[in-house]
Amino acid sequence: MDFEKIVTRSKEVGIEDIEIYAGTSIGTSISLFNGEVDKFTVKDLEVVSIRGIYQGKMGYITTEKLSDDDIDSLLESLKQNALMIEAKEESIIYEGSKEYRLLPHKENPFLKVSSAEKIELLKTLEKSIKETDPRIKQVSNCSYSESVSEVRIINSKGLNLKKSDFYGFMMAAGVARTESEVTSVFDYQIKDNFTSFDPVSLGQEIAKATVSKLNADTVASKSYPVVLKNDVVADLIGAFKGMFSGEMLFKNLTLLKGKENTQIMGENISIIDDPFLEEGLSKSSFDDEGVACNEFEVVKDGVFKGFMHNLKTAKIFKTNPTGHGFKPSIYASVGVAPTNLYLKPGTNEFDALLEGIEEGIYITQVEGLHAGIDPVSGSFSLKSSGFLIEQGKLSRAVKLIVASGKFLELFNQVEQIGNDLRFTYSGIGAPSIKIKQLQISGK
Amino acid sequence: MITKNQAKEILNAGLAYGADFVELYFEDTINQSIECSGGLIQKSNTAKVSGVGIRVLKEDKEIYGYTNNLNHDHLISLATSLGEGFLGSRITEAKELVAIQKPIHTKIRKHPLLVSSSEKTALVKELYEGAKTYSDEITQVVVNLVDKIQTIWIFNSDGLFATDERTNSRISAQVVASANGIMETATDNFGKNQGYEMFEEINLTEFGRKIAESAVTMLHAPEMVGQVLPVVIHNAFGGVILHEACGHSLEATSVAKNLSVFSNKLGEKIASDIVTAVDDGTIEDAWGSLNIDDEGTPTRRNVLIEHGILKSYLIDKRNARKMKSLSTASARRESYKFSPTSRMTNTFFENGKDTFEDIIKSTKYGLFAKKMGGGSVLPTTGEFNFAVNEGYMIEDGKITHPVRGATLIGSGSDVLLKIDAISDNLSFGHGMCGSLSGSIPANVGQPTIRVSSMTVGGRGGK
Repeated sequence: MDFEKIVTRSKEVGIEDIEIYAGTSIGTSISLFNGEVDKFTVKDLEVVSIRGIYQGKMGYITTEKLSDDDIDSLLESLKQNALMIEAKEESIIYEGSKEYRLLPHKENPFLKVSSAEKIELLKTLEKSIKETDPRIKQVSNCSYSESVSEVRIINSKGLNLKKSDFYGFMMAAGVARTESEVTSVFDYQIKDNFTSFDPVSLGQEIAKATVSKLNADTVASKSYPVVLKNDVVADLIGAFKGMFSGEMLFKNLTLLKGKENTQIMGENISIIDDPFLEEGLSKSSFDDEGVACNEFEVVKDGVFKGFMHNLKTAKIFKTNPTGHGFKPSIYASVGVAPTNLYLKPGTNEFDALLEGIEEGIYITQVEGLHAGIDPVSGSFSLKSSGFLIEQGKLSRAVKLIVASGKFLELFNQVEQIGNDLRFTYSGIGAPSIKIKQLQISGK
Repeated sequence: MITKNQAKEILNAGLAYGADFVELYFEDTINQSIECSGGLIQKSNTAKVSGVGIRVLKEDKEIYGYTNNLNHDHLISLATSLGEGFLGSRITEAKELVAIQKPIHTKIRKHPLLVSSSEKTALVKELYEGAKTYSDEITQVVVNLVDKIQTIWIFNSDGLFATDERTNSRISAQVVASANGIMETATDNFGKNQGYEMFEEINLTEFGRKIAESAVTMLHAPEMVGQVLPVVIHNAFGGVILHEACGHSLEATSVAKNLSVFSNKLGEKIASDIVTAVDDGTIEDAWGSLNIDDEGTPTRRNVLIEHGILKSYLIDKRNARKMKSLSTASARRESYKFSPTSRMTNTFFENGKDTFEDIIKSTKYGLFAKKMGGGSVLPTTGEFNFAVNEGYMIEDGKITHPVRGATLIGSGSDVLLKIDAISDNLSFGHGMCGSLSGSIPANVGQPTIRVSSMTVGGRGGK
């Protein structure tokens, strides 16, 4: 599509300022079942999202039909959408930040890898899971995917930015069966380089985790000292991250309204958003509005340092944009989201988290995060599984329990923090943590 | 969008290296959405989705490609390169394309594109006002109105040509009640496989008021105390229990690979005798209905469980090959960016013989789950969870006080056998279901049922 033409034409039809956000993505995914390729998928997409200010309001239109013949009708739809808006807040198209910290340029390493090598990787992974333990009867969801995406942002104020990103993702689930029980555990690796995948060790970990969940039972309902696995902590932070969003503040949907610079969590808690973090999965120099990204402390030593903002919410709350104006998808309006948000790790080895717990629960997985939480009230009640902790050691597996609590209370009861920071595929990072007490429902 | 001759050329290109089946799924969709918060329209978006998914099969192996570059030469080369993955030589040619006869289960009277901006704004405001004015404790109301017009063209090498236009509309609201620094959210939505005529059958003021009432009730409710007890699950969206506890585990996606707890159980008793469960894509105007599925097969009524006996799975064409069975017209996908697989449409328990009043009266102690939230399941283990958005305790046959924050968990094979009462008040709730082939409208339904014993989680008690 001719972006220059869109900008020129927009002026002619009375649009005050306009911005084009163009995304391309190409990718491959392969899934393996019983040693054979079950499904092979390729994609090749280019999507253009346009937003513009008409009569002071911001209208959006996104299209996958990239024909210059459609420009006039797209601009007309954009104007219609702008006219729908009743909110009084100022709309902003940005001329750009003074400077951008650049990410190191990397060549895409996946282009040089043949499909045969990717299939071989999956075969190794599947074999490793099956051979690690005879109780593993099946391997499911054994798949590899890679995606290369590129974004261009061009606007009528002279902004012209471009960024690209690529990653590879390998995952599988082991299925263990006995006469009376079925267990399944899934795990994955995400890498920016093909040679960094380690299918043998991932397979061994999946197999061990799957069989370790056999012979599980529930526990009596009461509150227990609890250790939360790093992935579970990241899941919870991800589910409640809207609390820190300037957009939720504007919508009056956050408990943290008016809590800036007050103690909201224990003094041992720091939550940081670092767009340049090496191990992060959402590295970025600028957000989807062209605002430069910077390291941002959300919580420091338990004190809430402030909300993440995009251009619009920053203006509303008379502060500076923080470089968090991201679109939840290319088809949506710009919202507010973190880049690499993570809980700062501590120094404890994992075993040290278990020490001193006479009877407790180690939670390795929570489910139903889209349903069992209320992101506004901060409460959660989630189906969980893991292991019993007895006399400071892990004992039998635990299943069919519900862990219930409140997000802020939870982070006020953290006794110890592990050193095992891990980023989940949702882009949130956390170490394992030990919680003084958490309500567990079982039998 | 494309002529039959062009389609046939692409199909033949896909068959060149030994594939035995090629399918093209062209799509042209307009999504329109508006969002109102604080009583003002804050967002208005249009998204035009347009592209093709090309699927190439050899026996049960699949190669899939999708693109929004619809240049004919590009599609010929894409189909060829996909087919090349099978490393063989041509075994068949594409058959003559013949348009299928399809039944019509939805009649659009008020097309979304013909509805004015002011009319849409008025609908959203009506719901907003209904909720906002219910109580001073209502601190926020967010209303979303979305409509989608999807046109599809399906061609396959067996000679099938099918086209359809699907229109659905949905209004949803998130209502927040606050007091003393505590916030509580209630949500609900109403959707149909219809245009804006669907609003003739709903009073939006009353709908908003009810959501607000639920938020305020829950704000003042004590926390649920975790325990094992009988649970009465109310009708409409309560049917999410069937969807999660059983429906997903009957999809060929997991059944065909022997990954489901219900694999190889046809003809066996998997539920209590009073349970009959159905997936029916043909219900007129219903949220989950389709004239044809996403492989071009006219939808139908599938009895899944009859008097407790497993009668059928939900099967798409590719999994039918794996299972040596036939399609049940259950192939669905969010868009051309997904290859189709077996999914639910309108899934519900049939009416039973009890009445709602009798079920409550005969429950000495239990939880009444009046409004359900969403949930999820892992079909491999059958373990599911779902949230109770509005719950009440039942004591000595009477509904006594509200409780909040309850979550129900269990395993599908266990819970279906524990259904000991089913009433006669079947109705539906309108959800979005996310799975392998994307997010699709799924209608869940049931009459009020009772499960004799379930694990319920909550923050209450010590």
